[in-house]
Amino acid sequence: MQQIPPPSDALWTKLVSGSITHKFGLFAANMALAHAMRMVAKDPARKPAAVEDFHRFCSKYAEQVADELKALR
Amino acid sequence: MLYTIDDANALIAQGRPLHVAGDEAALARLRHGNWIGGTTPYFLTADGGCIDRKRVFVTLLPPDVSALDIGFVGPDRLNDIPAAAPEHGFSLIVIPAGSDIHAKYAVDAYDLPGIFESPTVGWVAGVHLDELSDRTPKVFNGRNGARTENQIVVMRAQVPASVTPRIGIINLFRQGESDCLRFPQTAFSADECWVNDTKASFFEYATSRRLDLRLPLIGNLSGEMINVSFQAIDEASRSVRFYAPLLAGVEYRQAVPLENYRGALLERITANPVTPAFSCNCILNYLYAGLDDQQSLSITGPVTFGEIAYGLLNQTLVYLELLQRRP
Repeated sequence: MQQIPPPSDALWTKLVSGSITHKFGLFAANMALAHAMRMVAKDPARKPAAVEDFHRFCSKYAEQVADELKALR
Repeated sequence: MLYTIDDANALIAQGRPLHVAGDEAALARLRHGNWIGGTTPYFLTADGGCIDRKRVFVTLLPPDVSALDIGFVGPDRLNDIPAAAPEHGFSLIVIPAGSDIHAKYAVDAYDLPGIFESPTVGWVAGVHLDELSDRTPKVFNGRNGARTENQIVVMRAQVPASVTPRIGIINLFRQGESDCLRFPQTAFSADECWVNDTKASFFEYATSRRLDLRLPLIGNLSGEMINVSFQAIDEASRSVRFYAPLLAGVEYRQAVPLENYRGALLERITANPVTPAFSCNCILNYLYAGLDDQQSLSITGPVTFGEIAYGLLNQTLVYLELLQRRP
């Protein structure tokens, strides 16, 4: 079972705020991240919700995104 | 591939879940069973592109796919699409073009709770381009033969836990280095916009620069190039209409022109050796690449008025793969 960083990891905030950029190999991951980024851009107060959404997505697809997340940390 | 009605009915009788595309009269002759369908007379087959009103294009879903449920979803129940998606599986949907639900899904899709957590793939049904003012696109629930022009048909398909459904796209285009365009609202038409942070009329911008309307606007969504294709410049309302919504806040640039549209599309298909469980391609690719000939294609399917890969895409080939998970 592939592990991904916990929601408290700073990586998630960096991803959803766009301070680090990455194109995942999984189309859905890019669309989910773009949606989270748009959410934050529209209302910065929603950053925790955006992190929660994208973390939940990555938990479900951990097998396909864990290696890339590990490399980003 | 294309089947006669008799042969398609024989496949339906076997009980395997199917996706079917065809002319409305042809779909209406299919027996009830485990299928969903939508109207189009345009197809891409292994033998080339064609218009066929008598035969139907059948996608026989792989043997380990089971159709848990087939039904229509109305505009007030869009949340049901991700909410009722199977834990292991995908949702295959067909939307009638030009309907209110087409517009609503296109605008709301990315905000539906859980939309990215289970693959939603499909297409927008159409009609022959010569019949746009005479006929309306329809979608079919094969379980009971019902058809509609204002709801989405959904097949909730389950796969074993060892299988991962995965959506992919083939997009010919990339962003050019032209002006950066942003729009204030998520909508199918644009009048106001910002051009490099200066407020402007997009109608004025498009007409004064004589934009090549074959080249879509492209949004960079976390590295994915997502097209929004031009439909028309509307002189009466001084606005520009598109085949998909421009997303508020996304930075768009017009696509780099293709020297050889057809060659680029065929090269991208050839370079992408996938074995899709389902695939479809945009009618604009079909028209602009001149695919109505004998050109053999490795990725086949209905020719569409829009492609669904979670949200609505344009000028894109969309496919679904079913991958075996790593042990």
